[in-house]
Amino acid sequence: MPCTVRLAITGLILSAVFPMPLQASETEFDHNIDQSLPVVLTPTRLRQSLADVPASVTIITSEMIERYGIKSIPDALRLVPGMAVTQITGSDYRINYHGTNILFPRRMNVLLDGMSVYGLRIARVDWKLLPAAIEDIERIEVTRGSNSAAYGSNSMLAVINIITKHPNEVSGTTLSSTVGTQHTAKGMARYSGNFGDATSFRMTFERDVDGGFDYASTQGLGHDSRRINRLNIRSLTELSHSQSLDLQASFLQGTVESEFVDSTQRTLPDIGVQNYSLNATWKNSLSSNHEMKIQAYTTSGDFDQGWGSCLPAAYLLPEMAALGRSNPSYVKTILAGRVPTGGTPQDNVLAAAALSAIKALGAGAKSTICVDANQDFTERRYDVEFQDTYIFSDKVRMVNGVGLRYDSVNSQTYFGGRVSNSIWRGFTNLEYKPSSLVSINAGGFVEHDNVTGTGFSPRLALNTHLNENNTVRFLVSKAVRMPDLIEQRANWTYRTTNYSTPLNGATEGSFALTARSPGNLSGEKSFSKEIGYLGNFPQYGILFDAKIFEDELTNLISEKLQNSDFVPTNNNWTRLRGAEFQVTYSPSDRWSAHLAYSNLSNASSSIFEQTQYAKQSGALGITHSADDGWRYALAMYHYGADTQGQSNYGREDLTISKIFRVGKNVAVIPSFTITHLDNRSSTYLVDVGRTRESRFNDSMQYFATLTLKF
Amino acid sequence: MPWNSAGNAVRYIFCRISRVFKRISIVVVFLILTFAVELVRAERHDTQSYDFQIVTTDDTGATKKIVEDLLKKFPSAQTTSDSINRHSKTKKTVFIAIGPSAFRSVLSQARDGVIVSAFTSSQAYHAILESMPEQPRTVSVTAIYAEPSPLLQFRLASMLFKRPVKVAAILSNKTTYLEPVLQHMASQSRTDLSIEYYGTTEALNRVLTRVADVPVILATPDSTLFNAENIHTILVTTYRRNQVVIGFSAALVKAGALASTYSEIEDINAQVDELIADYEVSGKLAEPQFPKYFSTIVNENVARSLNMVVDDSIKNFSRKPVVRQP
Repeated sequence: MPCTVRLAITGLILSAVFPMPLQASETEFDHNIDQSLPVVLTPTRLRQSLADVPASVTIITSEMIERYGIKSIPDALRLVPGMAVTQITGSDYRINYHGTNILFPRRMNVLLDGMSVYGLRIARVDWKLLPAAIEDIERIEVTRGSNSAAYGSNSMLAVINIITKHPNEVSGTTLSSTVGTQHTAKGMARYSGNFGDATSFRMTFERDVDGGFDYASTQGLGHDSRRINRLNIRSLTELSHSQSLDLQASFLQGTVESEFVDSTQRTLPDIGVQNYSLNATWKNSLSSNHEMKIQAYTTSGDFDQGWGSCLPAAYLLPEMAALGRSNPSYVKTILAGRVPTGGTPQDNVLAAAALSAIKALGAGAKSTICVDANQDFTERRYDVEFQDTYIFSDKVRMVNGVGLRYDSVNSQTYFGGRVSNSIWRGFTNLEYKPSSLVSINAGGFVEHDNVTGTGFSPRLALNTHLNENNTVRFLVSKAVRMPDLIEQRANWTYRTTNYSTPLNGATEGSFALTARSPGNLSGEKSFSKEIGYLGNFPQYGILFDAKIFEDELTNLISEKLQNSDFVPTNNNWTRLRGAEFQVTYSPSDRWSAHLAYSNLSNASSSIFEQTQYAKQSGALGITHSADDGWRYALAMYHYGADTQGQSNYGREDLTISKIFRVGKNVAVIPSFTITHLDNRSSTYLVDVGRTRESRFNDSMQYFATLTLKF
Repeated sequence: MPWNSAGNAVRYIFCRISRVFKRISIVVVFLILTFAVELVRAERHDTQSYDFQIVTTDDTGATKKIVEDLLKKFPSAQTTSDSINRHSKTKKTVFIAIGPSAFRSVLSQARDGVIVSAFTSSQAYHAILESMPEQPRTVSVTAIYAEPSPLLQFRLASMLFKRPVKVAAILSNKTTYLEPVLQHMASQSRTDLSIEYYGTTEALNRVLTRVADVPVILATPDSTLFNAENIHTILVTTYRRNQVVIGFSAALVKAGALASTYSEIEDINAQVDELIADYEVSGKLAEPQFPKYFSTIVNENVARSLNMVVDDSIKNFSRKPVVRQP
């Protein structure tokens, strides 16, 4: 331990502090006396300093969230340089680091207290359905850049680590209520306490209602609100001085409105959601230099989305469904009124049968039958991981781990039943500091996936500490993103039931089109290079981080993943180059500022990888704490529009709050946020030559929050 | 005239010799006086109107080291480990009590004289005083506390953050006496100080939450708060919030506090020596005081983890007593 500890009169001071008789061991002036006071912040507990981290990191604290009036996690991510955040509907956010494919963002890993929260059916994140209230978030750590070497698949472009508050960090009761434009209404109640001396807990309940856009996406009805209930319980038990057990349980239930997706729908396809998760982490400090951790969790999500459709009878013929399972393009050709060619002999036989069946219906082939359909699915994830951290010396630190995950999705629509995947993984990272001038991080992540195969993601980083204030970082890494279940195992057919008119005596069947995965997709790959700089000037209150980078993404699965258009391949590539920086400026305890900027170029073989792209983007936030508890904050966000169909985004928020203290433990905090949108519209590309738009009627929005703590 | 020239020459020479002699004499007198003062000063320790007793209640290695160092400064001092020696009626006794038990012992036995408590925390000192019956007017009591001076800790905080920074101190009903002291020292160092009180019936997390937005927590050796049960929670909770803890001992720094000033045995003993010397000259006993000679220790692992830059000016932040040449 490099700590320059020299004991002088520690023992006698300790004898006055700790109520025990003066003993010989308490007054001997040698290092053995330290045993009377165990080392709490052991090297294994300490975070890696920013100067040693082999990546660019943005940290958004709970204080920033509160002061800037940030209402959701997607909005918090707008503070991250290079992060593309597009709101499609009230609850649908498409978020990519450095943009790329807006249709299905799935190249970022999102962790909530160590649990991966990206979906199993398709590895995207339902940002508004995360089981954590914004008030429970302690900080969000964004590792900007490939981090698959540490976190595995889906960490190809970035890792977002959401860390909630420990039960020890909150006390008493907190009640909070927010109302605002767009029918925003939110109520949160949190209580924290103790069970005995060793266990602390917090319990949070939240009701979240949001009206979404005034004009949403397809029909312009503005039918995109959400009504969500969240319950989260977390406990921390100190089993001993060296062992702790962290338990979490969360439950989420609610409704997310959805506008019509296609013209045949007659009832709105709203989504009923019910999720729960259980998370347990056991830590054991075997010594001050050795810690092991076991984390096990399970997540479960039930998504019910049903609707009524009315469509021509020809679409419901079983012969057409059989042809669709064999050759979807044949079905489209027939429905377009043409005779298909170019398929296999079996396709031709099926096509003949389908055409015969349509002919048999005669004029009835075009008559409308109303049916019920759905795209319900249930996902389950089980994960267990063992991690060992060992600090050999001041120069060498190593983290190793193994893990096993089991994912399953049950959906008649997407998979014709249940599909599952087992993934085992192993990882290692070595930090070596040969001198005070240099830190070397080398590591890798290997995973074997039953559905796709094996992938390996290595990383090598060199941090050169020019002096105590300046560090230059060189980083190369490779990453692999394994295809998710919909890409690799789709058997996507819409079952139809409750026919309004029997079709050849049948009152149920399936839609003509079926989308099937080729089943032979391989992992997407990236090769990233980065030169970064960190400047730490505490005398000026400045922390400056900058980097230039190049990411070469290959084997990309860029195609649309739709039932009517499902031809995923590994045929695409994208090259991302650019520079970005962030500055945190805190000249005093009263003032702080945050500035983020990104300049990016995107070259790609597929237009879909440029559907979320801005050459220039950034954010600026300034906060001031005045006397008597007044606080002011101004935040400005900008995201350019440098691709087809994408609208630019600009917003300014002014937040004013004041803390009223009543006695020692009671605080009342009213807060008011005024928001101005530079562009009321949010548009994005859904297909070549086709965009969708959601829109607010007014560019001004207002939110008021009242928080009571006691 | 030849006789006159020779006489003038003799007078000249004699005059020159006389001037040189006078200069030498002045130097010699100066040296004699200086030496005499030292002799007198040394004799004051030994032969003036004071007896010196060094009182201990244990014989650990540390205590022996303290006594050994004190004896260099007070060669004629008696050492006693339990009952104080009954003092002569012609001389006043200066008791140097090493540690809280010795202080309590002397306080309960002494009927006159001066008691200097050393190596006892301010909390223990005040608690012992309050628990004892009122002292006779012939007994004067003072102390050099064991823990670091809050003024130095405030300065250390400013040096660590390279700018004035807000500091929170958490006190209990056992350390209320510290509030005016801390306020005064905060004012001296232009530190923005907030003080919170912690009661044993209150959950620790509550008071830590009240100071959650303050970057620096000043740790004082208050057994109500900084005890074996609470240290873990305090250090882990403050670390998670990116707060730093400054104080109050090297062991606490090793456990996870960021930094502290501290005083070695020789530092405290030198101050004891000065305090007694000033008393001998002025006849007035100084008020209880914090150590003024100190060094600084830093937990570099914690500092690095919190992205703090610790330069040599911080590590070298110290003040040492002037070493007298024998």
